[in-house]
Amino acid sequence: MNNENNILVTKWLNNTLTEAELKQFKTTEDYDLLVRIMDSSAKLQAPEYDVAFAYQKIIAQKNKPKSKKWWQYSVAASVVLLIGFFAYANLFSNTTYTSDFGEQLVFNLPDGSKVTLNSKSSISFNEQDWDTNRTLKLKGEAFFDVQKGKTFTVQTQQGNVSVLGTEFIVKATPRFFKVACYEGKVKVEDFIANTTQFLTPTKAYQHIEKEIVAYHFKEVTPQWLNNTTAFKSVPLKYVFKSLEKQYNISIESNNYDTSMLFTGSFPNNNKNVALQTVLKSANLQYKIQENRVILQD
Amino acid sequence: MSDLKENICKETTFQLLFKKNAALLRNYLYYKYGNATDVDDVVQEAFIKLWDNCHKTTPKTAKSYVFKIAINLSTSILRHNTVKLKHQKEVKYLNNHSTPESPEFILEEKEFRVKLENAISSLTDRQREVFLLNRIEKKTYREIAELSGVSVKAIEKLMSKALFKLRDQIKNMP
Repeated sequence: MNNENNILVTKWLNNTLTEAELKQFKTTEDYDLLVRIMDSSAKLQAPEYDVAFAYQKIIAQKNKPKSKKWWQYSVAASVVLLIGFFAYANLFSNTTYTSDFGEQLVFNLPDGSKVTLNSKSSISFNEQDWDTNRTLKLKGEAFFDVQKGKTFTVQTQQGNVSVLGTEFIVKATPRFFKVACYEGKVKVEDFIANTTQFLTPTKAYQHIEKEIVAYHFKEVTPQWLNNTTAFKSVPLKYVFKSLEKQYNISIESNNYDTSMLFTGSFPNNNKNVALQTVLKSANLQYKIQENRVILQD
Repeated sequence: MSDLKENICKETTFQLLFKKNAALLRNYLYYKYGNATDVDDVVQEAFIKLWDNCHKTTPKTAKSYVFKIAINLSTSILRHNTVKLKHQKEVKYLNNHSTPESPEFILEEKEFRVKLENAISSLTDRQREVFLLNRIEKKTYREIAELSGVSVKAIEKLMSKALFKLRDQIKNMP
Protein backbone atom coordinates (compact mmCIF):
# COMPACT_ATOMS: atom_id res chain seq x y z
CA MET A 1 0.00 0.00 0.00
CA ASN A 2 2.85 2.26 0.87
CA ASN A 3 4.61 1.38 -2.34
CA GLU A 4 1.66 2.44 -4.48
CA ASN A 5 1.65 5.84 -2.81
CA ASN A 6 5.39 6.19 -3.26
CA ILE A 7 5.01 5.53 -6.96
CA LEU A 8 2.46 8.34 -7.16
CA VAL A 9 4.80 10.66 -5.26
CA THR A 10 7.61 9.94 -7.70
CA LYS A 11 5.33 10.59 -10.65
CA TRP A 12 4.17 13.79 -9.00
CA LEU A 13 7.77 14.95 -8.62
CA ASN A 14 8.51 14.13 -12.25
CA ASN A 15 5.28 15.71 -13.43
CA THR A 16 4.09 12.53 -15.10
CA LEU A 17 0.78 12.01 -13.28
CA THR A 18 -2.32 11.63 -15.40
CA GLU A 19 -5.35 13.75 -14.51
CA ALA A 20 -6.99 10.83 -12.80
CA GLU A 21 -3.84 9.92 -10.90
CA LEU A 22 -3.41 13.52 -9.78
CA LYS A 23 -6.94 13.57 -8.41
CA GLN A 24 -6.29 10.37 -6.51
CA PHE A 25 -2.96 11.65 -5.26
CA LYS A 26 -4.51 14.76 -3.79
CA THR A 27 -6.73 12.62 -1.61
CA THR A 28 -3.88 10.61 -0.04
CA GLU A 29 -3.22 11.37 3.61
CA ASP A 30 0.34 12.56 3.03
CA TYR A 31 -0.53 15.01 0.27
CA ASP A 32 -0.69 18.11 2.45
CA LEU A 33 2.53 17.23 4.23
CA LEU A 34 4.36 16.66 0.96
CA VAL A 35 3.18 19.97 -0.48
CA ARG A 36 4.21 21.71 2.69
CA ILE A 37 7.67 20.13 2.62
CA MET A 38 8.19 21.21 -0.97
CA ASP A 39 6.92 24.75 -0.38
CA SER A 40 8.68 25.32 2.90
CA SER A 41 12.02 24.04 1.67
CA ALA A 42 11.80 26.36 -1.33
CA LYS A 43 11.94 29.25 1.09
CA LEU A 44 15.22 28.23 2.69
CA GLN A 45 18.51 30.00 2.06
CA ALA A 46 22.16 29.14 2.36
CA PRO A 47 24.34 31.50 4.45
CA GLU A 48 25.28 34.68 2.63
CA TYR A 49 28.24 34.61 0.30
CA ASP A 50 30.10 37.78 -0.51
CA VAL A 51 31.12 37.18 -4.12
CA ALA A 52 33.11 40.42 -4.46
CA PHE A 53 35.09 39.72 -1.30
CA ALA A 54 35.80 36.16 -2.38
CA TYR A 55 37.05 37.44 -5.71
CA GLN A 56 39.40 39.91 -4.00
CA LYS A 57 40.92 37.02 -2.06
CA ILE A 58 41.68 35.21 -5.30
CA ILE A 59 43.34 38.28 -6.79
CA ALA A 60 45.38 38.74 -3.63
CA GLN A 61 46.53 35.13 -3.77
CA LYS A 62 47.38 35.45 -7.46
CA ASN A 63 49.49 38.54 -6.83
CA LYS A 64 51.60 37.01 -4.08
CA PRO A 65 55.16 36.84 -5.45
CA LYS A 66 55.99 33.25 -6.28
CA SER A 67 59.51 32.05 -5.58
CA LYS A 68 59.38 30.12 -8.86
CA LYS A 69 59.21 33.32 -10.92
CA TRP A 70 62.27 34.65 -9.12
CA TRP A 71 64.28 31.55 -9.89
CA GLN A 72 63.29 31.81 -13.50
CA TYR A 73 64.31 35.42 -13.95
CA SER A 74 67.19 35.71 -11.52
CA VAL A 75 70.49 36.33 -13.16
CA ALA A 76 72.19 39.12 -11.34
CA ALA A 77 70.36 38.71 -8.03
CA SER A 78 72.65 37.52 -5.30
CA VAL A 79 72.32 34.00 -4.03
CA VAL A 80 71.79 35.19 -0.47
CA LEU A 81 68.86 37.37 -1.51
CA LEU A 82 67.24 34.49 -3.38
CA ILE A 83 67.60 32.03 -0.55
CA GLY A 84 66.33 34.63 1.91
CA PHE A 85 63.27 35.26 -0.22
CA PHE A 86 62.57 31.58 -0.76
CA ALA A 87 62.68 30.99 2.98
CA TYR A 88 60.34 33.93 3.51
CA ALA A 89 57.84 32.65 0.96
CA ASN A 90 57.74 29.28 2.72
CA LEU A 91 57.53 30.68 6.22
CA PHE A 92 53.80 31.06 6.07
CA SER A 93 52.98 28.16 3.83
CA ASN A 94 52.22 24.68 4.96
CA THR A 95 53.43 21.40 3.56
CA THR A 96 50.54 19.09 2.87
CA TYR A 97 50.36 15.40 2.05
CA THR A 98 47.11 13.88 0.83
CA SER A 99 46.44 10.23 0.07
CA ASP A 100 44.01 8.88 -2.48
CA PHE A 101 41.53 5.99 -2.36
CA GLY A 102 43.26 2.75 -1.43
CA GLU A 103 46.57 4.55 -1.14
CA GLN A 104 49.04 4.64 1.74
CA LEU A 105 51.53 7.45 1.74
CA VAL A 106 54.76 7.22 3.73
CA PHE A 107 56.93 10.23 4.31
CA ASN A 108 59.37 11.71 6.79
CA LEU A 109 58.96 14.82 8.80
CA PRO A 110 61.93 17.21 9.02
CA ASP A 111 63.13 15.62 12.26
CA GLY A 112 63.12 12.10 10.88
CA SER A 113 59.79 11.11 12.41
CA LYS A 114 57.91 8.87 10.03
CA VAL A 115 54.26 9.17 9.04
CA THR A 116 52.17 6.61 7.17
CA LEU A 117 48.89 8.02 5.89
CA ASN A 118 45.98 5.66 5.32
CA SER A 119 43.55 6.08 2.41
CA LYS A 120 41.86 9.44 1.77
CA SER A 121 43.63 11.24 4.54
CA SER A 122 45.66 14.39 4.72
CA ILE A 123 48.29 15.98 6.91
CA SER A 124 49.66 19.49 6.89
CA PHE A 125 52.44 21.13 8.85
CA ASN A 126 54.87 24.02 8.71
CA GLU A 127 58.31 22.82 7.69
CA GLN A 128 60.16 25.97 8.67
CA ASP A 129 58.85 25.89 12.21
CA TRP A 130 59.31 22.18 12.76
CA ASP A 131 62.42 22.38 14.93
CA THR A 132 60.72 24.49 17.55
CA ASN A 133 57.15 23.35 17.16
CA ARG A 134 56.34 19.77 16.18
CA THR A 135 52.66 20.27 15.43
CA LEU A 136 50.67 18.97 12.49
CA LYS A 137 47.03 18.82 11.40
CA LEU A 138 45.42 15.52 10.49
CA LYS A 139 42.21 14.62 8.72
CA GLY A 140 41.61 10.88 8.39
CA GLU A 141 43.98 8.22 9.69
CA ALA A 142 47.75 7.95 10.10
CA PHE A 143 50.42 5.95 11.89
CA PHE A 144 53.19 7.96 13.55
CA ASP A 145 56.69 6.83 14.44
CA VAL A 146 58.03 9.81 16.36
CA GLN A 147 61.65 10.59 17.10
CA LYS A 148 62.48 11.61 20.64
CA GLY A 149 62.49 15.37 21.00
CA LYS A 150 60.21 18.25 21.80
CA THR A 151 56.51 17.52 22.30
CA PHE A 152 54.94 16.21 19.12
CA THR A 153 51.29 17.17 18.65
CA VAL A 154 48.69 15.91 16.19
CA GLN A 155 45.76 18.30 15.88
CA THR A 156 42.43 17.04 14.58
CA GLN A 157 38.91 18.39 14.64
CA GLN A 158 37.92 15.76 17.18
CA GLY A 159 40.85 16.14 19.56
CA ASN A 160 44.58 16.56 20.05
CA VAL A 161 47.15 13.86 20.61
CA SER A 162 50.60 14.63 22.01
CA VAL A 163 53.69 12.52 22.68
CA LEU A 164 57.39 12.84 23.39
CA GLY A 165 58.74 10.03 21.25
CA THR A 166 56.73 6.98 20.47
CA GLU A 167 54.59 5.01 17.98
CA PHE A 168 50.85 5.47 17.75
CA ILE A 169 47.95 5.79 15.34
CA VAL A 170 45.26 8.41 15.19
CA LYS A 171 42.02 8.06 13.29
CA ALA A 172 40.15 11.35 13.16
CA THR A 173 37.07 11.53 11.00
CA PRO A 174 33.76 13.14 11.94
CA ARG A 175 32.16 11.13 14.75
CA PHE A 176 34.97 8.52 14.77
CA PHE A 177 38.01 9.41 16.82
CA LYS A 178 40.45 6.66 17.75
CA VAL A 179 43.97 6.63 19.13
CA ALA A 180 46.05 3.50 19.74
CA CYS A 181 49.49 3.44 21.35
CA TYR A 182 52.13 0.99 20.18
CA GLU A 183 55.15 2.33 22.03
CA GLY A 184 55.91 5.04 24.57
CA LYS A 185 53.18 7.17 26.10
CA VAL A 186 50.50 9.19 24.39
CA LYS A 187 48.29 11.99 25.74
CA VAL A 188 44.83 12.17 24.15
CA GLU A 189 42.56 15.21 24.45
CA ASP A 190 39.03 14.55 23.26
CA PHE A 191 37.32 17.85 22.42
CA ILE A 192 33.86 16.44 22.24
CA ALA A 193 33.92 14.40 25.44
CA ASN A 194 36.06 17.09 27.04
CA THR A 195 38.39 14.54 28.63
CA THR A 196 42.09 13.77 28.64
CA GLN A 197 43.63 10.30 28.82
CA PHE A 198 47.05 8.79 28.73
CA LEU A 199 47.67 5.66 26.72
CA THR A 200 50.52 3.20 27.09
CA PRO A 201 51.38 0.38 24.66
CA THR A 202 48.52 -1.99 23.75
CA LYS A 203 45.98 0.55 24.97
CA ALA A 204 43.51 2.23 22.62
CA TYR A 205 40.84 4.90 23.03
CA GLN A 206 37.86 5.01 20.70
CA HIS A 207 35.05 7.58 20.55
CA ILE A 208 32.40 6.84 17.91
CA GLU A 209 29.38 9.14 17.96
CA LYS A 210 28.36 8.87 21.62
CA GLU A 211 30.13 5.64 22.50
CA ILE A 212 33.49 5.81 24.22
CA VAL A 213 35.49 2.63 24.59
CA ALA A 214 38.94 2.07 26.07
CA TYR A 215 40.39 -1.30 25.18
CA HIS A 216 43.51 -3.43 24.89
CA PHE A 217 44.82 -4.86 21.67
CA LYS A 218 47.70 -7.20 20.93
CA GLU A 219 49.05 -6.26 17.49
CA VAL A 220 52.51 -4.76 17.44
CA THR A 221 51.82 -2.53 14.43
CA PRO A 222 48.50 -1.37 12.98
CA GLN A 223 46.88 -4.01 10.83
CA TRP A 224 46.40 -1.62 7.92
CA LEU A 225 50.15 -1.36 7.55
CA ASN A 226 49.91 -5.08 6.81
CA ASN A 227 47.16 -4.76 4.26
CA THR A 228 44.32 -5.49 6.65
CA THR A 229 41.77 -3.12 8.12
CA ALA A 230 40.49 -4.21 11.51
CA PHE A 231 37.63 -2.99 13.69
CA LYS A 232 36.53 -3.54 17.23
CA SER A 233 32.86 -2.89 18.04
CA VAL A 234 32.42 -0.35 15.29
CA PRO A 235 29.01 0.48 13.79
CA LEU A 236 28.56 -0.96 10.31
CA LYS A 237 28.28 2.40 8.61
CA TYR A 238 31.89 3.25 9.51
CA VAL A 239 33.06 -0.11 8.24
CA PHE A 240 31.32 0.72 4.98
CA LYS A 241 33.03 4.13 4.90
CA SER A 242 36.42 2.42 5.24
CA LEU A 243 35.58 -0.01 2.46
CA GLU A 244 34.58 2.93 0.28
CA LYS A 245 37.84 4.77 1.00
CA GLN A 246 40.00 1.75 0.45
CA TYR A 247 38.45 0.55 -2.79
CA ASN A 248 36.95 3.77 -4.21
CA ILE A 249 33.44 2.30 -4.32
CA SER A 250 30.11 3.47 -3.04
CA ILE A 251 27.87 1.25 -0.98
CA GLU A 252 24.22 2.02 -1.52
CA SER A 253 21.14 1.00 0.37
CA ASN A 254 18.48 2.33 2.70
CA ASN A 255 17.60 -0.68 4.68
CA TYR A 256 20.36 -1.99 6.84
CA ASP A 257 20.93 -1.45 10.51
CA THR A 258 23.67 1.16 10.38
CA SER A 259 24.28 0.89 14.10
CA MET A 260 25.00 -2.85 14.12
CA LEU A 261 28.44 -3.37 15.64
CA PHE A 262 31.18 -5.09 13.71
CA THR A 263 34.31 -6.69 15.15
CA GLY A 264 36.60 -8.23 12.58
CA SER A 265 38.74 -7.29 9.62
CA PHE A 266 38.92 -7.18 5.82
CA PRO A 267 41.88 -7.38 3.44
CA ASN A 268 43.02 -4.19 1.71
CA ASN A 269 44.08 -5.81 -1.53
CA ASN A 270 41.12 -7.97 -2.47
CA LYS A 271 37.85 -6.15 -3.01
CA ASN A 272 35.68 -9.22 -3.45
CA VAL A 273 36.92 -10.96 -0.35
CA ALA A 274 36.66 -7.73 1.62
CA LEU A 275 33.04 -7.17 0.58
CA GLN A 276 32.15 -10.78 1.16
CA THR A 277 33.68 -10.82 4.62
CA VAL A 278 31.92 -7.72 5.84
CA LEU A 279 28.56 -8.14 4.14
CA LYS A 280 28.21 -11.84 4.86
CA SER A 281 28.85 -11.36 8.54
CA ALA A 282 26.13 -8.70 8.53
CA ASN A 283 23.82 -11.07 6.68
CA LEU A 284 23.42 -8.74 3.72
CA GLN A 285 22.91 -9.72 0.09
CA TYR A 286 24.46 -7.46 -2.47
CA LYS A 287 25.29 -7.03 -6.13
CA ILE A 288 28.21 -5.18 -7.68
CA GLN A 289 27.84 -2.75 -10.59
CA GLU A 290 31.23 -1.34 -11.58
CA ASN A 291 32.18 0.72 -8.56
CA ARG A 292 28.78 0.59 -6.91
CA VAL A 293 27.79 -2.02 -4.38
CA ILE A 294 24.04 -2.21 -4.08
CA LEU A 295 22.66 -3.87 -0.96
CA GLN A 296 19.41 -5.73 -1.40
CA ASP A 297 16.74 -5.52 1.24
CA MET B 1 37.95 28.98 -35.45
CA SER B 2 38.28 31.77 -32.95
CA ASP B 3 36.86 29.48 -30.29
CA LEU B 4 40.09 27.52 -30.20
CA LYS B 5 42.13 30.57 -29.34
CA GLU B 6 39.67 31.86 -26.78
CA ASN B 7 40.67 31.04 -23.27
CA ILE B 8 39.89 32.43 -19.87
CA CYS B 9 43.32 33.72 -18.93
CA LYS B 10 42.35 37.36 -19.32
CA GLU B 11 41.38 38.77 -15.98
CA THR B 12 38.18 40.37 -17.22
CA THR B 13 37.01 37.06 -18.69
CA PHE B 14 37.96 35.18 -15.55
CA GLN B 15 36.23 37.71 -13.33
CA LEU B 16 33.01 37.38 -15.30
CA LEU B 17 33.19 33.63 -15.00
CA PHE B 18 33.68 33.91 -11.27
CA LYS B 19 30.80 36.31 -10.78
CA LYS B 20 28.54 34.02 -12.77
CA ASN B 21 29.39 30.73 -11.12
CA ALA B 22 31.01 31.14 -7.71
CA ALA B 23 27.82 31.51 -5.70
CA LEU B 24 26.20 28.43 -7.24
CA LEU B 25 29.33 26.33 -6.75
CA ARG B 26 29.63 27.46 -3.19
CA ASN B 27 25.97 26.71 -2.41
CA TYR B 28 26.24 23.34 -4.13
CA LEU B 29 29.11 22.35 -1.84
CA TYR B 30 27.43 23.87 1.18
CA TYR B 31 24.22 21.88 0.68
CA LYS B 32 26.32 18.75 0.40
CA TYR B 33 28.85 19.25 3.17
CA GLY B 34 27.87 22.17 5.38
CA ASN B 35 30.62 24.17 7.09
CA ALA B 36 30.69 27.46 5.24
CA THR B 37 34.34 28.43 5.86
CA ASP B 38 35.89 25.25 4.50
CA VAL B 39 33.52 25.32 1.56
CA ASP B 40 34.54 28.90 0.75
CA ASP B 41 38.18 27.77 0.80
CA VAL B 42 37.46 24.97 -1.65
CA VAL B 43 35.69 27.38 -3.99
CA GLN B 44 38.68 29.72 -3.84
CA GLU B 45 41.12 26.87 -4.44
CA ALA B 46 39.06 25.53 -7.34
CA PHE B 47 38.89 28.88 -9.12
CA ILE B 48 42.60 29.46 -8.61
CA LYS B 49 43.27 26.05 -10.14
CA LEU B 50 40.95 26.97 -12.98
CA TRP B 51 42.88 30.15 -13.62
CA ASP B 52 46.21 28.30 -13.42
CA ASN B 53 44.89 25.95 -16.09
CA CYS B 54 43.23 28.65 -18.14
CA HIS B 55 44.79 27.38 -21.37
CA LYS B 56 43.10 24.03 -20.96
CA THR B 57 39.56 25.30 -21.13
CA THR B 58 37.25 27.69 -22.97
CA PRO B 59 34.60 30.02 -21.53
CA LYS B 60 31.97 27.45 -22.53
CA THR B 61 33.55 24.51 -20.74
CA ALA B 62 34.94 26.45 -17.80
CA LYS B 63 31.86 26.00 -15.64
CA SER B 64 31.83 22.20 -15.68
CA TYR B 65 35.63 22.21 -15.39
CA VAL B 66 35.64 24.26 -12.20
CA PHE B 67 32.81 22.16 -10.77
CA LYS B 68 34.83 19.01 -11.45
CA ILE B 69 37.88 20.50 -9.77
CA ALA B 70 35.83 21.54 -6.76
CA ILE B 71 34.12 18.17 -6.40
CA ASN B 72 37.49 16.41 -6.52
CA LEU B 73 38.96 18.77 -3.94
CA SER B 74 35.98 18.36 -1.65
CA THR B 75 36.08 14.60 -1.45
CA SER B 76 39.48 14.86 0.16
CA ILE B 77 39.17 18.10 2.07
CA LEU B 78 35.58 18.45 3.18
CA ARG B 79 33.74 16.22 5.58
CA HIS B 80 30.08 16.45 6.35
CA ASN B 81 29.17 19.11 8.86
CA THR B 82 25.83 20.49 9.89
CA VAL B 83 24.04 22.32 7.14
CA LYS B 84 22.39 25.39 8.64
CA LEU B 85 19.80 26.97 6.45
CA LYS B 86 17.81 30.09 7.09
CA HIS B 87 14.26 30.78 6.23
CA GLN B 88 13.98 33.82 4.01
CA LYS B 89 12.57 36.78 5.83
CA GLU B 90 8.97 36.73 4.82
CA VAL B 91 7.03 39.90 4.59
CA LYS B 92 4.16 39.67 7.00
CA TYR B 93 1.07 39.38 4.92
CA LEU B 94 -2.57 38.72 5.60
CA ASN B 95 -3.72 35.31 4.50
CA ASN B 96 -6.53 34.65 2.05
CA HIS B 97 -9.25 35.10 4.58
CA SER B 98 -8.05 38.56 5.52
CA THR B 99 -7.49 37.68 9.13
CA PRO B 100 -4.01 38.06 10.66
CA GLU B 101 -2.10 34.88 11.40
CA SER B 102 -2.72 33.70 14.92
CA PRO B 103 0.17 33.24 17.34
CA GLU B 104 -0.60 29.53 17.37
CA PHE B 105 -0.20 29.41 13.62
CA ILE B 106 3.09 31.29 13.72
CA LEU B 107 4.39 28.96 16.41
CA GLU B 108 3.34 25.89 14.49
CA GLU B 109 5.06 27.27 11.39
CA LYS B 110 8.27 27.75 13.40
CA GLU B 111 8.05 24.22 14.78
CA PHE B 112 7.51 22.78 11.34
CA ARG B 113 10.58 24.57 10.02
CA VAL B 114 12.70 23.12 12.81
CA LYS B 115 11.42 19.63 12.03
CA LEU B 116 12.09 20.19 8.35
CA GLU B 117 15.64 21.41 8.96
CA ASN B 118 16.42 18.47 11.21
CA ALA B 119 15.00 16.10 8.62
CA ILE B 120 17.11 17.74 5.91
CA SER B 121 20.24 17.17 8.01
CA SER B 122 19.42 13.49 8.13
CA LEU B 123 19.50 13.10 4.36
CA THR B 124 22.59 11.62 2.78
CA ASP B 125 25.00 14.16 1.28
CA ARG B 126 23.85 13.34 -2.24
CA GLN B 127 20.14 13.41 -1.42
CA ARG B 128 20.51 16.74 0.31
CA GLU B 129 22.63 18.20 -2.46
CA VAL B 130 20.03 17.30 -5.10
CA PHE B 131 17.00 18.25 -3.03
CA LEU B 132 18.29 21.69 -2.04
CA LEU B 133 19.65 22.50 -5.49
CA ASN B 134 16.17 21.84 -6.80
CA ARG B 135 14.19 23.57 -4.06
CA ILE B 136 16.42 26.54 -3.21
CA GLU B 137 18.40 27.13 -6.40
CA LYS B 138 15.44 26.11 -8.60
CA LYS B 139 17.66 23.92 -10.76
CA THR B 140 16.02 21.35 -13.04
CA TYR B 141 16.98 17.69 -12.86
CA ARG B 142 18.86 18.06 -16.11
CA GLU B 143 20.87 21.01 -14.79
CA ILE B 144 21.69 19.14 -11.58
CA ALA B 145 22.68 16.06 -13.57
CA GLU B 146 25.12 18.16 -15.61
CA LEU B 147 26.64 19.80 -12.57
CA SER B 148 27.28 16.59 -10.70
CA GLY B 149 28.13 14.42 -13.67
CA VAL B 150 25.43 11.75 -13.33
CA SER B 151 22.32 10.77 -15.31
CA VAL B 152 18.96 12.50 -15.01
CA LYS B 153 17.50 9.18 -13.87
CA ALA B 154 19.91 9.13 -10.97
CA ILE B 155 18.82 12.63 -9.97
CA GLU B 156 15.15 11.62 -10.14
CA LYS B 157 15.85 8.70 -7.81
CA LEU B 158 17.75 10.85 -5.34
CA MET B 159 14.99 13.45 -5.32
CA SER B 160 12.33 10.81 -4.63
CA LYS B 161 14.38 9.19 -1.91
CA ALA B 162 15.00 12.57 -0.32
CA LEU B 163 11.32 13.44 -0.26
CA PHE B 164 10.33 10.04 1.13
CA LYS B 165 12.90 10.37 3.87
CA LEU B 166 11.77 13.88 4.76
CA ARG B 167 8.15 12.81 4.87
CA ASP B 168 8.88 9.78 7.03
CA GLN B 169 11.19 11.68 9.37
CA ILE B 170 8.72 14.50 9.93
CA LYS B 171 5.83 12.10 10.45
CA ASN B 172 7.84 10.36 13.14
CA MET B 173 8.76 13.51 15.01
CA PRO B 174 6.59 14.31 18.03
